[in-house]
Amino acid sequence: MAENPNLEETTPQTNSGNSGSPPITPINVGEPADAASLAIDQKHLEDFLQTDMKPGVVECKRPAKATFFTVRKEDPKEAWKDRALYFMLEPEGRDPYLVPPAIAAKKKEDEDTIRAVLLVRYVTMAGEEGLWPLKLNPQEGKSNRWNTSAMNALRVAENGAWVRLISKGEYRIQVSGKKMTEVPPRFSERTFSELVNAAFPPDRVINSLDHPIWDELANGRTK
Amino acid sequence: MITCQRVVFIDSEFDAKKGQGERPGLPVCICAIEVLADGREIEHRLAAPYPTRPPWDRGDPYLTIGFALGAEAGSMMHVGWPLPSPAIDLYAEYMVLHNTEMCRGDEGKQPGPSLIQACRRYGVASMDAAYKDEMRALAYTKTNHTAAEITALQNYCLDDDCRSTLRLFRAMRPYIDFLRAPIRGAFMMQIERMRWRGIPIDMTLFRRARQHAPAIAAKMRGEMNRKLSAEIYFCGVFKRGTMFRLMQQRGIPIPVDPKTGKYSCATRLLKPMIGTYSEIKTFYEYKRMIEALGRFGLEIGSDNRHRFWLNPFGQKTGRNNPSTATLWGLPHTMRSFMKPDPGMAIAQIDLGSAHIGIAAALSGDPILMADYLSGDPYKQFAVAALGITNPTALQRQVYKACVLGRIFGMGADTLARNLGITRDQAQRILDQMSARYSVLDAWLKRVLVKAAHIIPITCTLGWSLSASGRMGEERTFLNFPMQGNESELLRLVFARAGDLPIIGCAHDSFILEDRADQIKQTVWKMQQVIRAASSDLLGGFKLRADCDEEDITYYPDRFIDKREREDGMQHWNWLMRLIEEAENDEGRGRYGDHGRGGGSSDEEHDTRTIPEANDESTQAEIGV
Repeated sequence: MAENPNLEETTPQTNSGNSGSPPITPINVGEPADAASLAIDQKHLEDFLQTDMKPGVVECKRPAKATFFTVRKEDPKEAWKDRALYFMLEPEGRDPYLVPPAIAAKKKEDEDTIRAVLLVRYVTMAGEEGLWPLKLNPQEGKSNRWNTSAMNALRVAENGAWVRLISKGEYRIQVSGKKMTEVPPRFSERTFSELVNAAFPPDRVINSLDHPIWDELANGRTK
Repeated sequence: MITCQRVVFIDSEFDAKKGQGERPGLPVCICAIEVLADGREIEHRLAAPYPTRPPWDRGDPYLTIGFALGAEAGSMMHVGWPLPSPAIDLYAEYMVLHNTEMCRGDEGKQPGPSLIQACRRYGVASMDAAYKDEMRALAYTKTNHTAAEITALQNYCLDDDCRSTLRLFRAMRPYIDFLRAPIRGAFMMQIERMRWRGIPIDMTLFRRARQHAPAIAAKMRGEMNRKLSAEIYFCGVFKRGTMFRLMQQRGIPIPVDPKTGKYSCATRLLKPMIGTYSEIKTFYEYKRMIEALGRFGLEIGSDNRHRFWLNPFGQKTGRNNPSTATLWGLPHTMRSFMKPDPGMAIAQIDLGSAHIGIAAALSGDPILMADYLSGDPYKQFAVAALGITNPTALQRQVYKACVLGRIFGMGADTLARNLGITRDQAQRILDQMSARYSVLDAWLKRVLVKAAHIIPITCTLGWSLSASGRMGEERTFLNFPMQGNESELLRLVFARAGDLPIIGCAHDSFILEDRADQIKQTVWKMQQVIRAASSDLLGGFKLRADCDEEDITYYPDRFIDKREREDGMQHWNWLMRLIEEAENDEGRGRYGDHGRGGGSSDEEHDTRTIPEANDESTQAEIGV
């Protein structure tokens, strides 16, 4: 201890320290210059990614405007995995119904609201999945610009591009500058059938010729 | 990484000159306990005149540890020692480790602990508080200490403060992140360096304003009443009910304070509405100036420089939380009291739209990244959403409010109120944002999902916060990754700034002062530091570090905040006019005040139901 506090430096005292405590050195410490390697990867914010990857609703509609999406390509030698042809009935201003082929065959002549569509599984850049119903051009007669351009967009998307639809008298196709390697598509592990079942619960499937929708279409409705 | 075989626990005793705006006094003593590799301890007791370098600095790497190291940084600057590196500040580490715990209460975040409180938290023996006060008083109250007094202070400094710090370190050691703690340690010392430099104030003008603050505030209250055609202030007292009635009459929706669930016209709630309603803009600007004049005092030293405690880590997001009685706590107009000395210049470097850049980098949203890098993400959004090439200022403002609001968890109702549009229109804009920035949107949702698991959300350098499970926390956690990482970036920038002459900082900007002929070079160096730091923390994504020619102020000009410049200096010129009028009135003996005091929110909240209304003209101009 210093007797004279005005000394430049008092004599250091040494002692044996806290004999009962573990040694505190060596200590390895980082430096501000190392921040790039010290930065904690913020991917941990998505630790619980799976918890919200199964939304309760799967939408069956054209991918939203201004949303980049992509689809998976089918192997022509194998059965399709992520797309299928369905009959859909779309009453004006209401959600669509799915119509099994047997029912559609019996009603198709009477109801022009029943259409064959190609349901295609898509995923947006944000990882949201949906079903894209593409209307098909008639095998005979004049083709429709919307249908044709939608099918063209599908081909661009399935060849490994993030695309966006812009409505201008037809679907114009914008391809994102982001490659699949930069933003890989995040398709869920759900099967195509699971998505279809989620998009069309039992009350959205017309299973019989007694379904009330036929009466509504034939005689109108008050509600 | 550095391997340290020795650790030095340091403390010093000095007059902090708290609240005076002065640099701290010369240390009466600097003491340290040096722990060697074999566990032996060397005790160092130093007093003036100090050696040219610390006796424990023998060339090999050693770790310096202290509690609130900024104080020791001040002592070291006084005696001409370099700031030690690596260094760990146990105060900073305590704030990191206990952030969630300190935010649990209903009255905001607890203040940072004293050394005694930190020791108590870890069950570590520390000194008696009364003895500490006695010793502090001894250090503060005189400069010509006797030899006996210096010895007493050295004993206290070493045997109590240094020894308590050592014991606290042993207790905290299992929890300290040694890789990142030195960044915080360097930050704590660098902000003391910033305080040491101080902010130059035009004292002649500041004294005039301070002398006449009550009279100026009274004039402002009168002008505000006239401008709004209502007695918002009556006899100097703010009448909330009158303001509510005015808003109701003019069809301006009244915000509800999310904390209380009651109607409120607090300026923080009205701020998002100032771009929509001219009356609110008037009220907001006048009220902030009136309130500032009511507490018009800055800590300014005898060298005419403003110094204050930055209160690092003071907010739950890790942001600094200085008192409002600082230059940064005043309305931006009043920052023009800052003025460089002859031959000097001041520059402001702005991390423009830092939140957006960080959100883009963390979420990986390619469109938001591109919009941010364009320099004006809000304009880009407006262009895309409206299908036009050149949006108006109002249109840009609308989409800016939407982007920022979404990151803050704003819903359609609040956006509609702030912008004076219908809820459907607001929802449509929010939908446009979700569609354009779909990756960001999904990422924000996932962050919320993680927070909902009551698991810490941890930022790039370890700052973290856990949800408590209470209602209404979503907003905090939507924004936490952006604000928290912005704070981490600020700390890293400070830690790397070295000798760059930073004299001030806000959450997203830095103020530097240098000789007029060197300032541009200094700005360039600082910009490089900021860009490199952001790249390191954000996976290679560089944030902007904007400093235009007009952001540099040369003597004899005064600093002008960007917003004041955009407003044509009207508020500053108005303040100057009122100072002159007050002086003239005083000369004529008309130093009167129709009101008293600075105005206060002294009425109860009005809880009556008031219908919301929208401004159709605004809706039309926005084009939604």
